[in-house]
Amino acid sequence: MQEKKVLLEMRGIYKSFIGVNALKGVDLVVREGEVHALQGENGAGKSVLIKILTGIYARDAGSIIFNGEEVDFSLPSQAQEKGIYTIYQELDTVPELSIAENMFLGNEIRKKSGIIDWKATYARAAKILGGFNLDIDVTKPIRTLSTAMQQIVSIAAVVSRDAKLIIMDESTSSLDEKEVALLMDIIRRLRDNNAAVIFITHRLNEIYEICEKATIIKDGELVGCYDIPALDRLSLISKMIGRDASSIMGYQKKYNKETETSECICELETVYDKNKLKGASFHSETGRDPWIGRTARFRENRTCQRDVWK
Amino acid sequence: MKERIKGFSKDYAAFIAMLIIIAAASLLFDNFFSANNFNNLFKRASIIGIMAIGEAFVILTGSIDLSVGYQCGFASIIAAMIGAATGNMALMIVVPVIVGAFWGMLNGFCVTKLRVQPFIVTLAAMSCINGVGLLITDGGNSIGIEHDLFNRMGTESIGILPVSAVIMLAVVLTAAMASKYLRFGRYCYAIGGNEDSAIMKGIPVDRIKFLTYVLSGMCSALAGVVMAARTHSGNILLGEGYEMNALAAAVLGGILLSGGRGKVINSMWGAIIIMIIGNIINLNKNIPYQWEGCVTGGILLLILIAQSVITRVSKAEA
Repeated sequence: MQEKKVLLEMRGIYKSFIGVNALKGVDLVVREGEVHALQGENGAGKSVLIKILTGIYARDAGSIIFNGEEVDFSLPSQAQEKGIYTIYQELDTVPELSIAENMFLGNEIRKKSGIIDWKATYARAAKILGGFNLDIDVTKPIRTLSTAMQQIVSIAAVVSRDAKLIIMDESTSSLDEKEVALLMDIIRRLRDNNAAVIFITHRLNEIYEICEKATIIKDGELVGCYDIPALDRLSLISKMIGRDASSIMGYQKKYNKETETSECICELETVYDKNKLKGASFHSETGRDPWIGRTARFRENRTCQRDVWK
Repeated sequence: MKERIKGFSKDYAAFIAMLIIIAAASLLFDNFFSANNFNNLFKRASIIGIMAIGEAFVILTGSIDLSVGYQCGFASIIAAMIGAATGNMALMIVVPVIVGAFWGMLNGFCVTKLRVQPFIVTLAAMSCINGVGLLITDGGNSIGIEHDLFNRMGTESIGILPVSAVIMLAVVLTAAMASKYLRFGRYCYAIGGNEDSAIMKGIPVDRIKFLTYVLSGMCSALAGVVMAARTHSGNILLGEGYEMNALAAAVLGGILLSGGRGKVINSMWGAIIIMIIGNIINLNKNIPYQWEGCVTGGILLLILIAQSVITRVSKAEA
């Protein structure tokens, strides 16, 4: 099989914040048309690496070659000009502005005279969303959509641009299964258009569903870059946490490759909220989220809140 | 349909409120509804209206400009001085506006480059401009303006509309179009609505904020020019306290003080409402005129409380 062209090559990236070495010589190589997982525990330095790439942080040392040229972005807008877009975990929408306007914010459709072409904006927005079978009135303020839908709309908007590399920083953490399926569909389309995706997620299923490669970092250091099909889940986690995952108490016993959606490893307490939530209990399943307890609890907690509030 | 009515009433609330106040004042006070009074009312409202437009853009980005009142007075001095020195009407209009842009740049520079709180920056600018104004007029003396054509700009009318109101309309309409069709205008909304997001989307946040201060400076200077023409003089005290009126006008017009929401054009209705309230107090000999400040301040406070409640409710809904 012919090797695909290298799109992004980050070599020996160092970054320290006052007294803390966040990154100690990390490499990240992404090829065209590749969905690349960036994995590591919380605080391993994934987000720092991404922020260095997109120009939010300045690196202390190292080189970044994107699309054949050495780059050094100091603003996210410069990265966007080259075709690098980021979709964050948090919503990056402006609630009061319309759905269409949010989709084209920073990238407005204008007439020759320089004024914004609202008709074309609405038409293009509706067409993009229509391409994903979403029938939404794009003239409404985006706050009228659910959090997850806002996220999907943001992603769809980015995809519609001339994106070469799209970074999804835990974009799926607030989505439910149906929405994740829609997102996976979007990622596949991107891949087919030869764009690359850097995918950060806490859900292992998603990695095995869509990613070809994974770069793993731990405590700011590169563990390695692996082919996903060749790396089984247990090894992946072992590499991330830096010790044999099967040593986590009770884990191996409950984890079973054949019946992936299996027992419950952590049952969470009931959550109350004075306004919306009368009480809910939920559990995290090993197959879906074989993470160390803290992470799983955090994520499931969020998912639950959202679902119940809806 | 229900939603459309809701949207309509939100967009035109200030206009409807103005009509109701005019109707009520006409019924209650017999000297209110006269061509002469309206003419006078519009002349005063246009000065506030022009200032409020600049202020509106600043507020949309979530900032504030407190220096507009003294900027207005300062521009009137510059207009009078240029008039005395050259007698050229074009210069009397253009130079004060350029000076206003300069004050705005100073504000914008301190806010965007030196990262000082807008409230403090413009409060200091307010004091500073007042000081400079007093200095160059030997402690607040008025400078008379003899230029006839210039003065007529502040006093004459075209039909029933005073010239100053026509100037305000021109500014308001330009601003309304800019806020809807120019990237500058849309970015003001985006920054006020979610500044972090605006940065991530690559919007030049600092440049836009800087420009809003420049625009605010230019608008207050233009208001000062109109003021100079109306009073045939230049004096630093002419715009004293007008920052309150401009703020109240923008806020009454429905622009959220936290930014990102509201229509620029409605500031004009806000300005007219403020002036009507002052007018009613002035027309009625049995209401002491000192009440004017209390009423304006009280209304501003009420509107801000209402805004805060609305914002909290709509956040809870979402």
